[in-house]
Amino acid sequence: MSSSGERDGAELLSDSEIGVIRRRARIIMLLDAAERVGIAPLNAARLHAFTYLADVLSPVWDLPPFDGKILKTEGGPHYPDIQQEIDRLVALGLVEVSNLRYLNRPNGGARLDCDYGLRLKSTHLSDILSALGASERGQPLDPRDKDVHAFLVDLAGALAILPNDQIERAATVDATYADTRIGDTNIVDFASWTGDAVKANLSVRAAQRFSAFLPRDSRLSPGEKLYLYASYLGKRINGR
Amino acid sequence: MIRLPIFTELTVSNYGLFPGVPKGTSLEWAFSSGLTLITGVNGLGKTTLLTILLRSLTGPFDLTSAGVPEQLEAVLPEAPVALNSQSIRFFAQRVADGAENTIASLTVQFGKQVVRIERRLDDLTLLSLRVNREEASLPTRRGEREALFQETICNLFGLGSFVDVLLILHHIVFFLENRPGALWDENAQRQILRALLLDKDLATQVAEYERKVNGADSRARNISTRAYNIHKELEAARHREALSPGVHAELEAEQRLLDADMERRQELERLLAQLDEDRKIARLEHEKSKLEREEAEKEVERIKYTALARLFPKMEDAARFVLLGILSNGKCLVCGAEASKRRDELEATLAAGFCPVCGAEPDKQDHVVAAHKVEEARLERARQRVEVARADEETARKRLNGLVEEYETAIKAIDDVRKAIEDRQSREKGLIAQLPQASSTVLDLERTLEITRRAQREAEAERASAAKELRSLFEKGQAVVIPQSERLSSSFGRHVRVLLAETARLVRIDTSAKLIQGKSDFSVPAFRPEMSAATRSGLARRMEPSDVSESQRELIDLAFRLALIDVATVGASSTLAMETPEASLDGLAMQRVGSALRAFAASRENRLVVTSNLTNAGMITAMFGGPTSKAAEIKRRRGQIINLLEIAAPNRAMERDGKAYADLLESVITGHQS
Repeated sequence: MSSSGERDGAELLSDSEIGVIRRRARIIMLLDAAERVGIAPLNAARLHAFTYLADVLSPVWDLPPFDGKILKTEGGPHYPDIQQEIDRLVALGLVEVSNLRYLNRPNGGARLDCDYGLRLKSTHLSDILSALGASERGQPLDPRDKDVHAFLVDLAGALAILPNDQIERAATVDATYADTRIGDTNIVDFASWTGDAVKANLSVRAAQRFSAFLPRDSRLSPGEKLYLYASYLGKRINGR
Repeated sequence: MIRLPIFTELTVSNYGLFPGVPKGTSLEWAFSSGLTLITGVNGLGKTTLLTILLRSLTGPFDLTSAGVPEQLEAVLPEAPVALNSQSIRFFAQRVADGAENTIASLTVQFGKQVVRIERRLDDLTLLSLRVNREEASLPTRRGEREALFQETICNLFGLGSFVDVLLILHHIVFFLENRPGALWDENAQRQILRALLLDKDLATQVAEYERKVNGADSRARNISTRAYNIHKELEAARHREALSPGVHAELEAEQRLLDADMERRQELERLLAQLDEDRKIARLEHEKSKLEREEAEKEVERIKYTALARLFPKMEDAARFVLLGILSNGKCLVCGAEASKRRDELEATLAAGFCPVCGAEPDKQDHVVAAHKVEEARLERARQRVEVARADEETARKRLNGLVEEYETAIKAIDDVRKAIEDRQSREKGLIAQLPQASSTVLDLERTLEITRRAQREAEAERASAAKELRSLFEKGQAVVIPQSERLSSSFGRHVRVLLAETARLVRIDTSAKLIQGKSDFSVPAFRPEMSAATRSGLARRMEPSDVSESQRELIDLAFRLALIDVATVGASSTLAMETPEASLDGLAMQRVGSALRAFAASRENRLVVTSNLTNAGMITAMFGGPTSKAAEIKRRRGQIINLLEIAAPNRAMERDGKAYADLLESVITGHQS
């Protein structure tokens, strides 16, 4: 926060209101990253998969995950809190929705299946992106957001090497999510209340291990690790 | 591969409780595949007969000297435990002659192998053992004889030890009245999965290292208590010899406070471990409730969406989306405000066919294809589900927040007490330094304390080394159990669907074997049921037996046992011996359970041995396959009954109401009221 006025404003918000705004900001940054690498609009399942992979792979960029846990469910990662805010962003005219339909769930109920993209016509969007460090112009409210945005673009770019329908499958074969020690309908905790986050995050450990295959003096950049990890996920999907 | 016993023949001769028909003959029974029903009123010997089957296989040994406990300890005994005299004399004390000439002979099949076991019932001595028609040459000494028997049976089961045989007999094959839980007792479940799913060498090694870790922990704790007592004694000696009363008094006060702080820290650490477990469960329930709420809400949305799409096929997705928010949840997606009033208005507008966006009348609109007709009943159900799901989510959220707060408070309290301990220890050191030089008693105690502390460190090192090995064995075990979990869950699902009215499933969790007191660092897979409930949305995880009703607890456990039989024997046959399965069931549940047991009995070469005191006739009739009037079928059913009303020595109830009980049995067989 850069001014006392903003500080005062933040103090007026409750924890849950701050949570809502954080989630909306995260969604906008994720969709912007998808837009930049040409994989937008994102199908709902793909957006949730991207959200999860961004959380679990944050430590590769030395960033804290947005959410350090997820409920492991049949069909891959899904965040009800995030979904709620995507719906609201559609209504607020910041996100565009298309190909709307509903899918059956195994225990009754339904889930939304549609494509989401930023509504670039929105007059508010550019200011928001700029405040979030997702724009070349203007200063972000929090300088660290620039790193977060760069990481998300890098990750989206890495995932873009996969055919579109494989992004959601990538999350289900991800080393942490697919850890067989954790059965369905259990929490996968890689950075929330886990005693040893390094040990619990198998994805980051796998991404870091790629360095071992290089000559002694060479190093992999975080971005290169993400690309290598994404292609590893692609291979796992295709059974190689 | 594991082989479970298939009972084929039983003979009990010269037992006063079962004089037979005509009197003085033996009780002889051939278990054909399917159901064997042991009927009789209380006191006629139903339990005794099942216990004969059990004790023929266990001999005079069990998991404890009093038999199987309701809950297992963290580790199993290294070797079978000899039964105490009361347990051994179980059969003798039921008859006047002390069963001194009573012999039980049980023939059992394990896969293609057949074994016949003959025992005296007064002291369970093994008289003969025949494997595949070949008489085993039994040693004269009783202990050696039982050892040979145990080894033979162990091999027939394909298990690593006779202790595991006892475990499986009690938790899989026999479902007797005390019903030790296979699913609900976490130690029993861990041991059963180990014994049934791991290969026998690994299973034996795991059990051995569990004992090593547990034993070393117990030694380390004992020595630590001893060290603590010596330390107290040392302080007392220093106190007696203190020449500086002021320093001494201060030291004593300081030590008292230190002791209290240490105790408080231990207490807080225990509380923290419990809170950590509770908050993790609460977090899981909260996450599940959010998902359930979303799915319920989206179902309402879907119904509304379908209606909107029919009415306004050209409406933009975004506009439809905004309307859906209000129509389905009564909340405005734009500002988040409560909008149920607006929902009612919109629904009225839509019902009349007006455009919800511009208000245009039906005849001025393009593409209006049908009137707004929403399946009201379906919608109402979906809305109710949303209401329940939201209430559940709110409850789960409050519980989670409460526990998180409690956990943080406990952490802070531990931190405070830790700092207080450090301060006190440092003050104590300072005060000790001010005391005059120690006497020989004090020096002796100091030396003893040092030696004891060294022994404590050694025991701790031994514990750590055994723990390391055990962790690696558990990892190997995990790699075997996890791939089987899907089969286990799907088999459980099949059985529980028939047994329970509620929806239930089996989920695998990662839990910790509690082998070291106060620590939970042995990760092992375990299974827990999740079940629906009338007042809750989705399937809630049931961690404790008290989370379900008594009958649900038993039926879920039964489904788990049946699933374990399916998975461990890879579809081979088995015997299930159950004592009064109808005991805790209501009328409708009895029909379901009866049908489920009938399905087990009818499958492969399975044997189902069930006792009944005829109090709940419906279930027995259901096990037979429902009411019948066909003479051939009635004859077949009679042939499946060990009728203690006829065979057993009559008691008072039989003398008085024998005819009524016989009529009752008749109506159970036919399913028609007599």
